[in-house]
Amino acid sequence: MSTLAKKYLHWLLDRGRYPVLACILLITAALTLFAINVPVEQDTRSMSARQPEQFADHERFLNLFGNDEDLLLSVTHPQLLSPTGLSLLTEVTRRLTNLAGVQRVLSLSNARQLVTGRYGAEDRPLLPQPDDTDFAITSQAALRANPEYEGLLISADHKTAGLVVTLQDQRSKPTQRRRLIVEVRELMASLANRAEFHLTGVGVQQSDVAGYIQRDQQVILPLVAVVLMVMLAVIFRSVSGILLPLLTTSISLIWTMGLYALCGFELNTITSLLSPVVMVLAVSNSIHLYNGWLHLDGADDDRIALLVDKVDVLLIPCLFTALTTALGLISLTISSVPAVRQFGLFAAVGVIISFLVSLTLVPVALSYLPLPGRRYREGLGLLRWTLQTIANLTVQHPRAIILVAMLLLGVSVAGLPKLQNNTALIAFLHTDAPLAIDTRYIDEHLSGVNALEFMVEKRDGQPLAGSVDYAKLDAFEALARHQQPVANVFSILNLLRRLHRAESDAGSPSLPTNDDELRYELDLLSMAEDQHMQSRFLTSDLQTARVSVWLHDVGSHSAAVVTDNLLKQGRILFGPDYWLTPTGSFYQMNLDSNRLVVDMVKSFSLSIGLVLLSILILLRSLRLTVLAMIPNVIPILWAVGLMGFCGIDLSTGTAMIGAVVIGLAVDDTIHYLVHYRRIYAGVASEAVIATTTQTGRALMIASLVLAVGFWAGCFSSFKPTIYFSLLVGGTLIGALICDLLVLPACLILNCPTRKEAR
Amino acid sequence: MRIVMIIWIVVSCLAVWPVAAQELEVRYAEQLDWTKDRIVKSVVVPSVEQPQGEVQLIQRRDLLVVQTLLSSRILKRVVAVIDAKESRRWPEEHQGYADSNHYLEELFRATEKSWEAFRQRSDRNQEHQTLAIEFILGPKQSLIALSLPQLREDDGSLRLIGKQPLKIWRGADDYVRANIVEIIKDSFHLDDTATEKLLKPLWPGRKSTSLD
Repeated sequence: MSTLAKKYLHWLLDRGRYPVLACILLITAALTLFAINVPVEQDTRSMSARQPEQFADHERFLNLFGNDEDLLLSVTHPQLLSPTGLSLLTEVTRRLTNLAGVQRVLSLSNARQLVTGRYGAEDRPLLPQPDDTDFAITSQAALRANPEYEGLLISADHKTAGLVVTLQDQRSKPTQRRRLIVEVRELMASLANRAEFHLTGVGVQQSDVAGYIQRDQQVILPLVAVVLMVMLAVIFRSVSGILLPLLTTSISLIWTMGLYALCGFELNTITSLLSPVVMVLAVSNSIHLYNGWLHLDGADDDRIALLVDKVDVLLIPCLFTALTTALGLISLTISSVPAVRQFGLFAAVGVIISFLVSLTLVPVALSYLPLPGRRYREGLGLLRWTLQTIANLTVQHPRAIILVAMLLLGVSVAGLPKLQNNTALIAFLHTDAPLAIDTRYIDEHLSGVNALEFMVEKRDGQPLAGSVDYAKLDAFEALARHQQPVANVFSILNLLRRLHRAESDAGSPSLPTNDDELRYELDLLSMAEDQHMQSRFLTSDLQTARVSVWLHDVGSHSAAVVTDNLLKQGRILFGPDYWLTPTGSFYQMNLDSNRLVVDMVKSFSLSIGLVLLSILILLRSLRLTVLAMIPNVIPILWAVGLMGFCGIDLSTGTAMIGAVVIGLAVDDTIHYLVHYRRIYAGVASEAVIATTTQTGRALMIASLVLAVGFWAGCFSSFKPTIYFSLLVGGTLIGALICDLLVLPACLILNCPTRKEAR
Repeated sequence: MRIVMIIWIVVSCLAVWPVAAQELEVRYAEQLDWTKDRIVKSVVVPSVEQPQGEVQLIQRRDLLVVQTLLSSRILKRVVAVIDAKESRRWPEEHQGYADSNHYLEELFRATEKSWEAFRQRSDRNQEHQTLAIEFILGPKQSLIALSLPQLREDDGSLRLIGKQPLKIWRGADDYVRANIVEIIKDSFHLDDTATEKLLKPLWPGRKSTSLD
């Protein structure tokens, strides 16, 4: 292996330099074309696991009832129930309706009520004409008589109106939806001097998330580049020390993102992390190679031979560190969320590319440079002193170090039970983000912002045409209303109750009491000119009813509790003759979130298994392999425990930490153990001191650069990305501490020649 | 004493009503006899896609009959549409307003009876409520009859197989004639000329269908 590698390196640094550089240049130029045009996903479909059964249910739901991604617009006006307020609502409703992509707008200005006429219910506008002399009194009376509009079209204090904007089914045209949302916001801005406007809804959330991804790409990527540049400048204090790692990083990034775009993928909230993560990961091998070159000592004429020897020494640890990092990332591909799979796969591809580019480009570039001077070889005095102190500490107090590490571990483990699954798109955003402000406002003043959808059907396929069917629906509605974060419940019963009141001239809304009345009223609904309302909640063949349970802005954790309760109690209530199927975009998101723990455990187990196997192959020692895992598992448990104590939820972003970090953290361990084994001559303490002082510098530099590089992600628009960046960076520092303290302490305590050494 | 009188009047009225209906049925038996009807033209209303009944132009011996057979799951709504059209056709200031008003009152009551009959039906698979409205124009007198029909569907067309009269009364000739013309025009989507051409040969002892 070594001979082969040396032959290749000699060829590379001699005749191979120009052809290899030309190849890299050509590939880079070609892939740049794709990399600069990576499209951004305009919805959140890649965040959904698309389990076949649930996906089929959701598709069926969308086909039966249309788009479930309504926009919710609120208008706050001090005199809403006045001719002025109504004319404003009429104008907003009309202008919204005229926008391309809008199917219908429901507001107070066009809402209808059913009143009792000679032959039963008669359809009338809810509010009187603005010129009505008793406008305010009549309006108040109409709203009292139709309480189902409260929370949906008007707030309890009658100062905020809600407008429900139903969109045309544009699942395949997310850019059109985004344009529509821009137009809605322009409309809101043009009327801002007349009232206070807020806008939310799943469509707005998805559209804004796409905007934030683009913003993050524009901000974080240059920031990572600057951070890396500064770190490299501080550490290496030379132009080549800055340019070479940055060049390999840039090329690796271009290749990875070019391939990502070439494969037809779009950036989503998770893969928006890909560029900064690849940039940070790609720098590691260059640092080790450049640091190795800095330590070359000899005549300048021998620089190629010395360089070949150095690269040959570093080749195996660099290969295995790249391999373990890639394997850790590859383990994410078993996730059920496509975005996580894409991230894992392409981050791994990026790491392998960076290994190949670093091992090619850095030696070629260094072959043109004269050997560095003594100043570079010795490095910073403070760093040298720190490493010497650490080395002495590990040799003198190995048990104390292990004890402290275990104590910290114990504290962290206590935080594990506090960890909970929770995905809340709005909570992911900064509190001052316009979407977060708007959503909170609408949530506080109207009827919640997220809808859990349920489909009710008879198992025998018969229509829901008996009064017993509707009594069960009524009971299910009542059950849903009593759940804690439920703001409102909508179903065909809202319409049926109002219709029955008007038909029977009853005082309050109620359901038909016998099958004939029910059938008659269902027939009336089915033959009404305007089918919009009933078709949203009951299919024309009466086989499927929809119940929309609107929740306040809560995360997937609370929503999952409500869903479970409703499903359990609902299935008992409906009995064995009915299907009760939960579905909808929000339900899909909750399901995905609740799969995270299982996904995380699977990915983490797989990554540990693969990393262990790689280390075993590399070191060919079971004892060292087990020891190698100790300094890597400990910081991850610290990080997870910290998440529990700090109330950081397990979400799509934070669930990836374990699998990403294990592959990265183990890099330092590999470098440490490979060096330790090479210089070990029977006395562990000597080998530990030598390894810590000699490799510690490169390990510290690489870990610091990685950690600070990750911390640049703290400027993201999404909290999970911020947590991910903070925790990965922190865990890498933790892993470095464990590699320089816990691992040597373990080696001292577990070395067979320990007594002899003393 | 006054209460006893009121009860006596109410009971008497209730007792007399079926007798009165039967008496009318007997009196107008010839005009109501549908067994020899010749259907000149018929149309499904309001449309074949949403059939709620059928308007039939009938020659019954020397009588001209426009019979509306309603068979609908939403009979009240269908009658409400008829009510709305009738009200528009005969505004308060119009000469036929009183006849129209009388007709609408009787129509409302007949609809209620049809609903009650539907509620008490023996065949629970029967989903349609029914009502028959006849405008009968004869050479001497004009009648309006409301009844509960028994219907059979035959090749997409409704066939009367029996009927239970609910109310029969004499209407003003002009009112009945004008309503026949309007119903034919509206149901068959005909203009004045086509309507006249259709009705002229059937007109009992009259030369024109015009209202003047």
